Amino acid sequence: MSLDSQKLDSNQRQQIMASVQQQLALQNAQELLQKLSDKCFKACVQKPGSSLSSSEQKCITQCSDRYMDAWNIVSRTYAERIKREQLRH
Amino acid sequence: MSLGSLASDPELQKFVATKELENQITAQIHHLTNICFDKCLESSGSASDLSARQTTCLQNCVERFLDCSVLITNRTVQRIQQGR
Repeated sequence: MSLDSQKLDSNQRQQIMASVQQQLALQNAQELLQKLSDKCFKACVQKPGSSLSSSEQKCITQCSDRYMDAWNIVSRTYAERIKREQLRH
Repeated sequence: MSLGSLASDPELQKFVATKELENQITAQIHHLTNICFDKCLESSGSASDLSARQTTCLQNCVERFLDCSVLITNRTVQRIQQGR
């Protein structure tokens, strides 16, 4: 095999990067959904009945909205902290 | 395209390293949200928005958690250096 054939062309590289990026985004979304389900099921469904009641549904909707809000605040605060620490060192 | 050509591509290596770091940060954010949600929003009932107090609590929670892990890391390094 010649050296040339071992090199990636820019098209192949782009494809690999896009696929890695996509897999990471999917993994991130799955992780978030998992955490949301855990938290809001625990918080909103005390005694699982034969179906979700409308108050349970309302609670779950609000719980997941608030969890997303919390996620945004946490990630903003964390990013700012990293920036601050980088400036200090 | 061989596995070797993937591993030896410098641009790809750099990309993977960046993504690895990004992924670690994202994992940490998941972890922190999980902890701080319990600490700060537990008793909020079914409010439709975060209160100012909850927002501050979340910010403090992140900062103090990081302070805490810095403290523990330093203390542990100290103990190891002292050979305890």
